[in-house]
Formats: sequence, structure tokens, C-alpha cells
Amino acid sequence: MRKRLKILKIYHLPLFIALILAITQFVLSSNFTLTRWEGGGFGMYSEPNPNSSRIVVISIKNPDGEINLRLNPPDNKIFSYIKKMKGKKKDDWDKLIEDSDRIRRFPKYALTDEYIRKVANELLDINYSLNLKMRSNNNPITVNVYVIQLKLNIKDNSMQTQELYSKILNI
Amino acid sequence: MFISNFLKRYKKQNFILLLFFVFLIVSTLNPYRLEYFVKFLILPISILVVVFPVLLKEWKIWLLTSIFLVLNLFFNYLHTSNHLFIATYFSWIVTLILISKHDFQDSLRISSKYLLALVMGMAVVHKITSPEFYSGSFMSFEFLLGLRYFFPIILLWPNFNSYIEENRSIYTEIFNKNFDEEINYNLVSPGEEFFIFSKVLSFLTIFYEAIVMLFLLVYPKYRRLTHILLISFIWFTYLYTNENSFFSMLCILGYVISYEDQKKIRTLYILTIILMLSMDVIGFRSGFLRY
Repeated sequence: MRKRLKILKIYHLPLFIALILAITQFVLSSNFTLTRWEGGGFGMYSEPNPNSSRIVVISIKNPDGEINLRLNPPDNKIFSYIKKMKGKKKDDWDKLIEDSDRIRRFPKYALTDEYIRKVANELLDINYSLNLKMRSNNNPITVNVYVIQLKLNIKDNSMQTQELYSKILNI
Repeated sequence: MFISNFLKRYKKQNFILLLFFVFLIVSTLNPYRLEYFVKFLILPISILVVVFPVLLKEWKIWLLTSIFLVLNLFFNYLHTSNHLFIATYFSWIVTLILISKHDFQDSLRISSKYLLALVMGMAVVHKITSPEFYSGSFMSFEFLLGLRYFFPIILLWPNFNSYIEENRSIYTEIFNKNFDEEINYNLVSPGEEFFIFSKVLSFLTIFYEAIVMLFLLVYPKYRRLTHILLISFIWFTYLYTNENSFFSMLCILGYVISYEDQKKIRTLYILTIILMLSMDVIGFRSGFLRY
């Protein structure tokens, strides 16, 4: 046993860390919605890239109406509006879109209540400019952020959407 | 005189370590690969090492580089490409060997061999546990949507581009849906033979990666064959994937595990690294010739 331990050297440490991280990533990607492409598990090209197969959508409902918008890749309405923004507002939106990209890669970890609240409030703030016809009054609001996965089935050559993860919050 | 002195200065140093820093410089040029603030830490160090290659065996330089690369993983975990994970492990291995004063070449060779085997092994594990991959769906998805280009497809199905056109419009349509209900579309394809082709290609990929991993585990036994398998895997896969940096990193590891008498193999690795890094700088993506 001692002899075996002697073979181990300090410079083997990164290899053990690499192995642990890769196994962790494999468990997270197999059971907890992390994409196989990210996180140091070397699983790229074993499933479609999240950039081309995962979509983050927000749905806001209140008695006045309903908004269904794509957060990532950003819906044209949001995208063109952000482009025109300036200053802190633009920075806030850029951060929200950046975070939605993290949600796309690892929904279970990155989709937090705080994020849902923030993005819903920002959307309600600009809903007149986006012509979404939603009043920001005191009515209760139900917000649902969900991640959709595109699945291709080789047997019948079909491409379907499937909900990968979702979170609902009343604000 | 000046030039020959300059070149001598480089020759004396470990050329592959120098290429590793060139690889880091190229990585900082890509807007998405490294965390913004880490770029400003890594770039000056890498340039310094390339200009003064005498620093290549300086453990303090390697320690700083390793710390910065870990910072990048920490702040950018969900956006860091896998080759930067490999670069981080490699950098730490070099640092620890230099600090512990073990025999540099041998220690680096053994560690890099296992690192390479781990990369290939995990790639196999992911592929055999992903139903989308082993069913051939993933490959056909990529080809039918033109997300990847593989030249034999055009030879087998000359009008394949028209299928891509049509599928792209279906794909765009899906992205513009409201998503309040499930969507089910049928893609157009050349037929049953194409799916068999995708399936065979998927199985071949798994098989090839597994073989490379097994040869790496018993390395240096069959050392020539191992390098031939590794480099042919890199070149074959390179033709239909967008992985200039990942394959450069694999070549760096391949070179490190090679022996001094394997001059041809080493030259091949160096040429491949230089070519792929140059392609990366000019933005050439071999697997995306069409789009």
C-alpha cells in the first residue's frame, strides 16, 4: 500500500481534480439539466449544443393579459429595444440576457427566484414600449420561466419541443 | 546574426511550452472564451514569456498563469470551453512539477498521458450514455440543419444543400413560435440511407475515441501507433467540427507525451498546432464551410 502511495506525486493532484470535476459534471448533466457541453466533463458533441437546441421563455400572466417572450435567444422585440437603450437600464438588461444564457446551460442551478422577479419587473416596466398591452398595476402576477429543449427523433425524422425545466412564481 | 541569436534563444527552450503560451494569447483574442478581467491578466504574462522564452521554466510565471486560469473557471464555469479546462490542468501540472523539482520531461509525459486518456474516456462515457448520440439523432440533426458540414455527404447526396435550406427555414420557424404548446415538425432528409450513415458515423466516433483512450492507457507501449491514431483522430474530426483551439490543446498534449526520437510525429504536431491556431485567429471554421 505504502509503495503504491509512493507512486503518487504532488503533480498528480490536477489529474485527480480533473477526474472529480469530470465525474461531477457527468452526474449534473445526466440528472440535473446541466448541458453536456459545459462544465469540464468533456461531453461536447454528445448532444446538440444548447445554443442551437435550448430556448428560455418567459410567460407573465395577470388579469390584464399575458406575455410570452423568448429571453434566450432574445426575442426580436426585446432585442431591438435593448439596442436602443442607454446607461444603467441597458447594463441591467444586458446582465439579464447574460444570465438567461446561464439558465440555458444549467437551468436547475441558474434559474433563481430573484432572477424571475427581476426580469418580470423589468418587462412590466417596458411593456408599453414593447406594445405588450400589460398594465403594471397592483394585480397579482404569475411568472413562469421555462427552458425548452429541441429533440430530434431519428426514427420518424421529427423535431419536437420538450419542456426541460420550469419555475413558476407569484409576484 | 541578430536573427540567428534570436532563434537560438527559442531553440534552447522547450518549444511546446512556448506554443502553450501562444495558445493562451490566441484564446484571449476570442471575445467569449475567457472571463474579461482574466484576459488582461493572462495576456501580458503570455506575451512576456513569448518574448523572453527564458521565463518558460520559471515556476512563478506558471503559478501566476495557473491561478489566473483557475479564476477564469471559477467566474466563468458555465461558459468556459473544455479546452480551457485542459489548459488549466496542464498549467497546474507544469507548475507543480517545477516547484517539486521532479524530472520535468518524464513527469510531464506521464501526467499528460493520463490527462489525454481522461479527456478521451469521458468523451466516450458521455456518448454512450446519450441516447441522442448513439441513436444517430445528434449527427443527423447537425447535418440536416447545416450546423456542421461534412464533405462526404455532398459526394453521397449531391443535392443535400437543398435539404439544409428547407430545414433551416423550419428551424427558424420553430424559434419564432410562442411556445405555449408543444411543437412537432418533420425535417426533410435524403432518406433511410442517410440515417444509417449518421448512425454508423456515431458508432465509429465512439469506437475510435475508445481505441485512442485504451492505447493511451498502455502508452508507451505501441507508442508510434498511439500517435498515429491520435493525430488521425484530430485531423478526421477537425474536418467536420469547429474546434481549432480544442485540437491545438490535444496536439500540445500529444507532443508532450512523445519521445525525443519521434521527430516526424513532433513536427506533425507542431505544424498542426500552428495551422489550427492561425485558422482560429483568422476565424476559419473547418466544420462550418457552408454557413
